[in-house]
Amino acid sequence: MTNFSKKFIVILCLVLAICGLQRTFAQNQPIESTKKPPVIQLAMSPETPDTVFSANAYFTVNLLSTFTADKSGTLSYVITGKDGKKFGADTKHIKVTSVCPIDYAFSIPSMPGGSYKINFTLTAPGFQDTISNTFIIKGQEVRQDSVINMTLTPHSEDGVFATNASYTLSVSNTFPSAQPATLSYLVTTMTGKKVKADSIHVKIGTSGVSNYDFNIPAVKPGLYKINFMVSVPDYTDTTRKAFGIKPQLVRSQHAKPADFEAFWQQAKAELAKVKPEYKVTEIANCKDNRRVFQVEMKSLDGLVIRGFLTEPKTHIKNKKFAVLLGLPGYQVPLGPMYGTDPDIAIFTLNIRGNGNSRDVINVRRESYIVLNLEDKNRYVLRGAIMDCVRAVDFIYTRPELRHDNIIAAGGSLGGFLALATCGVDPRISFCSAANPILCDVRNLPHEVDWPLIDINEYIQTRPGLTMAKVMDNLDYFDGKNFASDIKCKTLVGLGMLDNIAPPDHVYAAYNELTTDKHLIIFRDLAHEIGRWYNVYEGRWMRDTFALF
Amino acid sequence: MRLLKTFTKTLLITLTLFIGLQSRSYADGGFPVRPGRLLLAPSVSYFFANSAWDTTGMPAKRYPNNGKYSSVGVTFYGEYGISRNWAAVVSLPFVYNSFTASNIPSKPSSGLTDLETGIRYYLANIDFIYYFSLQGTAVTPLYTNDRALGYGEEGGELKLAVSGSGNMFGRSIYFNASDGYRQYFGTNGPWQNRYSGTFGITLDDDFQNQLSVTGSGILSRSTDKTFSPILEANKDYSFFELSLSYGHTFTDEFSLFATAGKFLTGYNTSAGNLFSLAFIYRLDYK
Repeated sequence: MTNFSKKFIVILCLVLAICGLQRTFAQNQPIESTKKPPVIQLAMSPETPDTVFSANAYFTVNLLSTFTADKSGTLSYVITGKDGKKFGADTKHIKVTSVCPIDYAFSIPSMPGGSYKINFTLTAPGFQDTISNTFIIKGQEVRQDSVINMTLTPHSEDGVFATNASYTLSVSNTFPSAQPATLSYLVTTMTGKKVKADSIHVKIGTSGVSNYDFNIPAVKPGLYKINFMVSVPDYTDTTRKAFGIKPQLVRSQHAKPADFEAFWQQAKAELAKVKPEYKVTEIANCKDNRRVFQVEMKSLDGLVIRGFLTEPKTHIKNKKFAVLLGLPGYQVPLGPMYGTDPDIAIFTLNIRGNGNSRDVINVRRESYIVLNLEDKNRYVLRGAIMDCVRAVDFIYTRPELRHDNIIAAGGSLGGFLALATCGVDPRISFCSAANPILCDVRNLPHEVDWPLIDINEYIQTRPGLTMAKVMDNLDYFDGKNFASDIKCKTLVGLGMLDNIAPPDHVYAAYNELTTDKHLIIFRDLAHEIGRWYNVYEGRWMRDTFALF
Repeated sequence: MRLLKTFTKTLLITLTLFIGLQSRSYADGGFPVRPGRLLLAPSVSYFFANSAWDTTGMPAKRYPNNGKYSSVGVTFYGEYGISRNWAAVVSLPFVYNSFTASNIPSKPSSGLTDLETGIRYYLANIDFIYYFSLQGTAVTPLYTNDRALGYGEEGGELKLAVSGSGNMFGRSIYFNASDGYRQYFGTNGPWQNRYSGTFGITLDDDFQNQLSVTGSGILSRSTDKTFSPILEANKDYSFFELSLSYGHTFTDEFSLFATAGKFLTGYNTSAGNLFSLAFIYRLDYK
C-alpha cells in the first residue's frame, strides 16, 4: 500500500468517525436541548437526615409525574444498618397521574436502636429512580434508676365535683426494698394561693400497686389546682391536676364596659364604609373532589385579607352548602381545608397579619398580640375581628352558600375570634370555641405567662403606657364580654390543665352565655382538646343545620 | 417558641370536620329526614312457604298435598323531609299471591294491597347519637272483597322509633328499633304490635358496603281465629323473622340492599323464607 493510500484510508476513517460521532450526537442532542424527558419526581418526608424516631420510623414519599399518561408501578424500600446489613424491606403498588402529586405513607416496623439508611426505589415502565435518607431509632430507654411510680385518678370524669374533690393515688416501687414515703397534696387557687394541704406517711412495698384515697375537704365553688407529691428519702415526684367545685357559679369580678356594644357598632360601621372588592380565583385541587378558591377582599382600614374557600363538587343543580368559617390560631397560616364532606363548604380565613394576609401587617410573632395595644381603636385585634365579619359578608355574597347555616370555629386565638365574631355578628348560627384565649383578661396576671410576657415587654417600650391602661383597652377584647352578646348555639371546649386559656377564665366566658350552649371539659389536657370535641361539634352542627 | 407549636396543634385538631350519620339503613328508623330530601325505595320481594304453624305454635307442619304458598311483592316506598322535624312517608305495595296443592287448583290473586301514608315527627335526641321519632300512619285498602290481598279495612298506626350510630369493632355501626301499635277499624279488625330491631355495620372506611341483621315480627290479635295459608288473610297470628341484609352504595344517591330472611317462630301463620332487593335513591331538592 502506498503512502497515499495509507493517508487516504486514515482520512477516510477520520471522516467516518467524525460523521458517526456527529450522527450519534445528532440522535441525542435534540431531545436534550428541546425538551426534558418525562420523569416521576420523588420527595420524602421527613427529608432531614438523621431524624430521630422513638421506635417506629414513618416516611411519606411524594410522587409527582410529568408523564402525560397514568403510570402504575411499585415503590419499595430497603433499610440497611451502618454495616450494610439489611434490616427490612417492603413494596407498595402505586399509581401516579400527571399533574397531581400523590403521597404514599410507610410505617416502618419497630427496629432496635441505632442508625439506619433507607432507600426508596420507584419502578414504573420506562422509569426507575431512587431516593435515600438516614434516620435514627432511639429505642426504648431503659431507666436504670429506681423510682416510685404514681398514677392519680380523679373520681370525676371531667374533674368537676359538686362539693368535695376526691382522688385515688396509686403508687408502686421499683427500689430493691420497701420505701417509707410521704404522700401529700397541695390545693391552691388558680393564682397559686394555698387553700388546703395534707399528707400521710406510708410504706411502699416492692411488689404490686398500693392505692390511697384522698378526699379533699370542701372548698368554695371555683377552679383549683392540686398537686400530689410522693417523697421517699432520695426521691420526690409530683403530679399536677386541676378540679372544679360547682364551676357553673364562676363569674368574672370585672364588669363589661358600658359602651362595649357601641364600640363594636362603631367598628362595624367603619367596616361597612370599606368596599370589599372581592376577588375570587379558582385554583387547582389535586387532593379531593372539591373546588378551591382563593378569596381576596378589603377589610377595615382598607387592608387586604385573604382566605380559601373549598366547596364539594356536585351535580345537584342549585345545591347550597352550609359553611364552616375556620378561624386561625395565633400566627398559624391557614391554607385551603379539604375533606370529603359533601354538605359543607369551608372558608378558612387569614386575618390581617396572618398567613397570606400580611401585606401591611407583617410583624414578629411575639409582637402581633400587642400591636397598637395602647389604643383600643387601633389595636390589631379590632381589625382582626372585623376581618372575620368581612368574611361573613363574603359568605353572604355567594348564592351557593347557605346564609343561615354558618358555623364559626377555631381553637386558641381562633376560639377567641369565634366568640368575638359571633358576639358582634348575629348572622352566624353556630359558634365553636376551643380553648379560647383572652377571656376574663383582668385576671390574666399571675395566672398565665403568655401573653403577659409580651404585654409587659410592650409596656416597657411605650412611655406612659401602664398595665391599667392596657387592661382598660383589653376590656373591649375580652372573650367573656363578647359571650354575653352571642345569640347562636355555642360549643366551648377547655382543658383543665390549660395555662394559656385557664379553665376559670373559660368558665367565666362560658357562664356569660345565655344561649343554647354546651361545654366539653378535658380533665387531663392542657391547651388542646380531644377528639370527642370534634365529634360532638360535627354532630351538633349537623343537627342544627338539619344535615341528617 | 413552644406556645406557638401548641397553638398550631390546637388549631389543627379543632378545624377537623367529622362526618356523622353516614351509615344507616335506608328507611323506617328514628333518624330524622333531611329537609328537601326525597328517598325513593322501590323493592321486589319473594316469599314462599310450604309449612305453617297452627294455633298451638311450634313445630311448623307441612301443608298437606305438597301445598306451597308463594308471594311476589313489589313495593314502592318513599319519604320526604318536609322540614327539620317533619317527614312524609308513603308505602304502596303490589302483590301476586298463590297457593298451590296437588288436590286443589291454583287460584292466584294479585293487586295493590294496603296503601300506607304517614307523617313522622323528629322528637328528640340524646347527645346527637340516639334519635327518637314518632310516626302516625293511615292504612287504606286499595281493593275490595279480596281476602288474599288483605283485610279490606282501614286502619291506623302509631309507631315510636329510636336509632343510633357510633363505632364498634373499629367500624361504623348503627341501630334502629321501632315498635308500633296498629288498629284495623272493621269487624274483627285486629290490633297489632309490629316491632323491629336492626343492627348494621359498615365493612369499609368509605361506607360503601354494609351488613345488617334485623329481627322483626307482628303480634296480631282478633276474635277471628281462622287460619289461611294466605299470609295476608289471617287476623289472629304472630311470627318472628330474622333477616340478613347486605347493602352497597354505588353513589351518594344510589344504594342497593339485598335481604334474606326466615320466619323462626310463630303461630297461625305460614313458616316461610323471604328474599328481597331494594333500590334506594336519595334525591336532594334543597
